[in-house]
Amino acid sequence: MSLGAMDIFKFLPAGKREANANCKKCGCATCMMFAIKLSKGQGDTQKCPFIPDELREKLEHNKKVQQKTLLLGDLKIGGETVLYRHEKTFINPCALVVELDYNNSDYADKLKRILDFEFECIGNKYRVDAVYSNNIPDSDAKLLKGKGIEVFDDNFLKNMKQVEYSDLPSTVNELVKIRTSAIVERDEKYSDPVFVRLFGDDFVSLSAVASALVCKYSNMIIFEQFNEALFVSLITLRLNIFTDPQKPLQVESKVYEFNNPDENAFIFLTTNFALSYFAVANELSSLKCGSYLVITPSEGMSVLTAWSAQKITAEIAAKVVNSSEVLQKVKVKRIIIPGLLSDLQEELQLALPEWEIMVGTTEAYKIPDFVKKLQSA
Amino acid sequence: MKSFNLHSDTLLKPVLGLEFPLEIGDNYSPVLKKYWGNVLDEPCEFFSCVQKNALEIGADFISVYFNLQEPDFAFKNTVLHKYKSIFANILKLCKMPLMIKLSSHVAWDCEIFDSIADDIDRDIIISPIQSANYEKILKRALKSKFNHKFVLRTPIDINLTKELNILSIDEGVNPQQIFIDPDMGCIGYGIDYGYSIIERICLARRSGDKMLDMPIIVYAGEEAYKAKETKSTDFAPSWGDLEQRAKMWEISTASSLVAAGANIVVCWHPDALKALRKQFCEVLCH
Repeated sequence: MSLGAMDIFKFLPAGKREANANCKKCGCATCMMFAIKLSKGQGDTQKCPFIPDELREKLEHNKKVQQKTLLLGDLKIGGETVLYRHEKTFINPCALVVELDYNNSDYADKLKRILDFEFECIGNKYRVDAVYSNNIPDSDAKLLKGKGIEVFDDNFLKNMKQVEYSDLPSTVNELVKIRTSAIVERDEKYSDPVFVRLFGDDFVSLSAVASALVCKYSNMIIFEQFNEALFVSLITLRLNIFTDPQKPLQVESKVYEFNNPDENAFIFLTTNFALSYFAVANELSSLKCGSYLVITPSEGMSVLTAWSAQKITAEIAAKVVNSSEVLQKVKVKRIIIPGLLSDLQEELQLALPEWEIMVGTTEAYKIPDFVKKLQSA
Repeated sequence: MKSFNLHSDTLLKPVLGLEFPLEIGDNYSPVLKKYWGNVLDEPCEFFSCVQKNALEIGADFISVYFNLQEPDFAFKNTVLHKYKSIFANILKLCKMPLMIKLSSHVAWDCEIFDSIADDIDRDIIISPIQSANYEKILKRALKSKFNHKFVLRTPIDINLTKELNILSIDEGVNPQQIFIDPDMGCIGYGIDYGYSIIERICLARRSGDKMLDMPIIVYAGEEAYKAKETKSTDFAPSWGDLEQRAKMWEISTASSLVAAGANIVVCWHPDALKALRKQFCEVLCH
């Protein structure tokens, strides 16, 4: 358990309402200030002559590392500090690894598929994190490393704790126990990062298993077999779970395209708050027709927040629209703005005189109906 | 329905439902079209086929999704009339626990429910009920002699969840009749928000909060099949095969939410339900 300033203060003279309260021998003006310092891991307990042993032990215990961080090239494994992501954030995404055996007949094919595998999601590119092999030729290891894929053998695994997969509920329970001992108890026996090996090519079943293990609480999963769809879905899940909840997930401010838009495409606009983007993007991608989505740089704020904080203004929106080349090719010069931004319509109209600014729906799910009505009009 | 032991610290076996939509639009995934084939055009045939599958793979209940958005005024009565007759036929065919899932458009849902409420002849699950229509729907449903379950939906906010539970109990609902629907997304579309809300509900429940001590339901099928990743072949080869990807999108969504603490999962593809059941529920005793 982490020790807050108040937990520490209770043990100090001022907190116990005893003599020597706020004696300043520690160099701080008050016991409270000293407590705050200690809670941040600063300050020296020796400076306070009145600290009880119990608090000293607690602080000592709190200095222990919860989970070790391992380095594998640029890849970091472990180093987690909380049990639940909403307490702070998860730190290092669960590494997704494929096993390669040079003596296996599928070696060359598997190597090629791993090398070829790369996909883009919200502006970032993703690959297999690492390959586990005890007999890979140096030249192939070099090829993998050239693509940013790390290579390791049994020597590296000695630094980790293996949990043998039995069945999903038992394995998750085992992983929860280990992680709880590491994070809450700070028990050194459990401070090594943990990996699980998964075998077989029943990828649909493996998807159920691995998705739960990414969340609870494997630091690395080694797959015997490789499958593109499995890795795409797991990396997508991992991206969500390992997002820092304290920083709103943002998407890049630019013009996004859906369903190969041509000169007849519809143009929508919203802020770069990831959830706003996803809500609209989901509807636009499900339309039969092509469309563009203009995303404004609004510091990851949702539409109304951004509007009241002046992070979406006519000027900001006009800048994105005017700097886009693709939008200039569209025939019907019309931009559909969120229903919640209806107050911005006039201002936008002035800033973008050659465009028609139309107020759209207040909810993303109403977009398909809205478009249908536009098309039949 | 099965009973729930919500206070166990261990991973729970989820209750699994199989759901199908009454209206098949352009957005319906080709993966599901291919699986169900010709029965899609006729709702009662579709129901029978889904039920046959559900029984075979060991689903715990079946869900009928009234997915049409509110039609123009001129067509409303025709649609409601059609729904009434389809629903009456489904009740005759149905041999397993039944859920009705309304469109989630608050006013239109009241009208749909009004049109079918008189025909309900057994305990069913009614979903989703929201803060803007809970009074109307609950009042109507509580008039009957049946012990229905109510799925209360609030938009990823633990305080709103608690509030709607309290308000519904004030209307006369028994806490044991409530399922919590935290309004999830799917993987790639902000699932982290709902994931953390589920974990927080479970923690509050364990620390003794009676107003959050209800099973949590998630719609992995509906949410996953909104995403283009489950519908479009317009992806580079690295995204893998569409059919596999679609199944995994649903399974991965479901599996991560069960890991967070979800108790009931509603699926769209029988293979997804089968995989989840195999991994989470069919575990031999040690």
